[in-house]
Amino acid sequence: MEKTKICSVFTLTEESHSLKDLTIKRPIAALPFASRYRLIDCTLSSVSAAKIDSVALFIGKSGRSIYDHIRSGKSWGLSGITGGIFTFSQQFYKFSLGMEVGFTEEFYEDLRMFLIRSRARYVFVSGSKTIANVDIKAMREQHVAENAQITRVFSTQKNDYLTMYLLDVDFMLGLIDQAVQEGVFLEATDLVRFYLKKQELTVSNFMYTGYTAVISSLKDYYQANMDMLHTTHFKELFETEIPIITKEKNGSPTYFGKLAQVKSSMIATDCFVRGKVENSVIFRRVDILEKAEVHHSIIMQECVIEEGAIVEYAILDKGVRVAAGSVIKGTPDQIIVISGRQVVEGEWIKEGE
Amino acid sequence: MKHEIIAMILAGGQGTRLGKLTKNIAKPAVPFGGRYRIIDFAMSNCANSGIHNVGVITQYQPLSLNAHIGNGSAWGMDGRNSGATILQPYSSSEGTQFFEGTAHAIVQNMDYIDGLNPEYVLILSGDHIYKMNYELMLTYHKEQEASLTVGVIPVPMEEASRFGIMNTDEHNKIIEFEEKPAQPKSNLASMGIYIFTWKKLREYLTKDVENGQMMEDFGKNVIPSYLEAGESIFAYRFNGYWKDVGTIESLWEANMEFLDGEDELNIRDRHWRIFSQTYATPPQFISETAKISNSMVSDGCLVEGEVEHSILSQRVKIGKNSKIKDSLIMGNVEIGENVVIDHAIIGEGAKIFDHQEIIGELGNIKVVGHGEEVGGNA
Repeated sequence: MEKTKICSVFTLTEESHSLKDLTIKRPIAALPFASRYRLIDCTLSSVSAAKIDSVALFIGKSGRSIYDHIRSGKSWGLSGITGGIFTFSQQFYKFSLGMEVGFTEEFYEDLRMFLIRSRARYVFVSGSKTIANVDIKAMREQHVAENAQITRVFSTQKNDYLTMYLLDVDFMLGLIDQAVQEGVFLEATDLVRFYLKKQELTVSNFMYTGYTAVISSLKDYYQANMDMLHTTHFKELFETEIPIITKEKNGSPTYFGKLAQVKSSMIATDCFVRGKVENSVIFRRVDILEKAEVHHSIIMQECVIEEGAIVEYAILDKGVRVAAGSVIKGTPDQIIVISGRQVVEGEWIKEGE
Repeated sequence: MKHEIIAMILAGGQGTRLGKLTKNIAKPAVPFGGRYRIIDFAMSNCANSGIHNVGVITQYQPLSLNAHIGNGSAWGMDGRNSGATILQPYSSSEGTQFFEGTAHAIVQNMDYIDGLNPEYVLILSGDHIYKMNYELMLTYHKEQEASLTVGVIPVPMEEASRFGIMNTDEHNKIIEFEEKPAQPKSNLASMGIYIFTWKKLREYLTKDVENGQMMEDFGKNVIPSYLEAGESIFAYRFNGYWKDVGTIESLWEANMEFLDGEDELNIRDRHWRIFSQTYATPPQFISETAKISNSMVSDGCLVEGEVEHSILSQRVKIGKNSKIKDSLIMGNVEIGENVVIDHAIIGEGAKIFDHQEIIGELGNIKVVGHGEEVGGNA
């Protein structure tokens, strides 16, 4: 086992009902963010910056969107000669089965094997719904200096602990053994949190002062994207020593038409912007036609906003087409969500308070 | 291991007519279209045509180019039985020899080609902007049982005297080659794209080396030799967009063509993507003081001023109240506040301080070199 090596375990099974349509076909971790990222990119980039080469992902359902995004893990340095990215899907099924027929130590086998085979000394355990840019190497230094059993991250901006922990692998394996004996069967993050609460442990709190967003609701998700339109937040997340890395797309530059009017917006590549865009987050390959208007909205990949259509306070999932002249008008408190590949015609207006 | 076809990209030229833009980098490394470098077109065409072994012959100021090509992973050439190899002049027991011409560069790299043992060698220049499926040209070469197939493009007759012109018979067989003819007999210009059956080319090249002669140039030496000996040479016609951006004016024009509607190059066609080296770059941010019209903007840009009919490459910063018009701004350029840039090309990494004015006009595009600083305490 290497003296300072860290491996990483992600739990992607967080509950997501409050994100409604956006998480029907994808886990929270795969939610598109800031014009070209997915939520998991932030923590995965922190992992990459700490030169962690072994990552395990425990996924609720099939994980298709995660696989499509991460592929071999090359973008995050996870496809080298050593290490790799290990995915364990259908965790929800595993739980249901356990509920029906009872749990055994078999439940922890994947996690245990990953930890042992990683040959790492430490494990960074994380959830997947937090947007933050954490220096994991510094976290390890503090963990070692304070001889802690568990080091957790405290976000000063959010004034709360985050679901990110650093433990010795040996200690984690010990917790697993204890859990089996005590009949406790939980995902990695929940397991750590469980024993944190239950037992007297040496805990170190790693202070994180950068941008933080925890995506537990639609409002959180909308706000986090809108936060990126503010230079301070944007710089705190995207202009640090830790670059946020995502899957490479080889996109071409975005074209702005003669009558385009764009202000205070973040825009990806491959778009055609011929109308008005303000205070919005636009993803790749979006077409905004002449006289169309987009305000305070999140427009995901491949949407088309046709001539004269108006979209305000809305989130359009991938491939939505807003027919010419249609109107989608939400309010700051009632963001309208249009699920993927729908065609919107007519008027969808929410009355404000 | 035998490969059917490999490509050799001649990327050693200086491109003197690009002035400051090629002072420290080779012409194929010159940025283009907001996020590419000129060589990306030849490289991507190879990748899309199923050619995964490419030798890139560099000589003049190769560092940017070498860093850009890397191991060819951006074009998927880092897998098994594939590779992008930078070929620079190197010394051997016969001494160090720089490349004296296009054919000579191939002679000097025969060992590399022999190592891959191909049946055919595709020779390309790294200088041109175009999308082409070389597989179709190879099929044609095989069908005609040619020793050499030359890619040709019809040019307007009035312009023909600027090019190397191929005169063909009714079967597209080349019977004569004239370099910049005063009275052109045909309008088929050589694109500098050749498919050679390697065994035959190798014979000719080694024979001449043995005779103490030097095959310097394909046009001047190799093709005439082939014609004299009665080798079968065919012309493969190409009808798409093809541009040599060898002068400041033509570089500027080709870039502006992206904005002016036609897009004959079809850069966005995802069935024939142009790949390039990519870097972790955040999305562009358009501030509340920005005004953009009829322009292209790339990743990582921060726009706080006015941009009209221009191209901003990656990571360009435009300060408040600045006006950019009819210009090409290359990557990592920082433009301060109250700057005016008109009909100009601003090189990579340049810095334009507040209140500066860089104003050119059609026919006289102003150029700021890579890394140059304009204003400030420079």
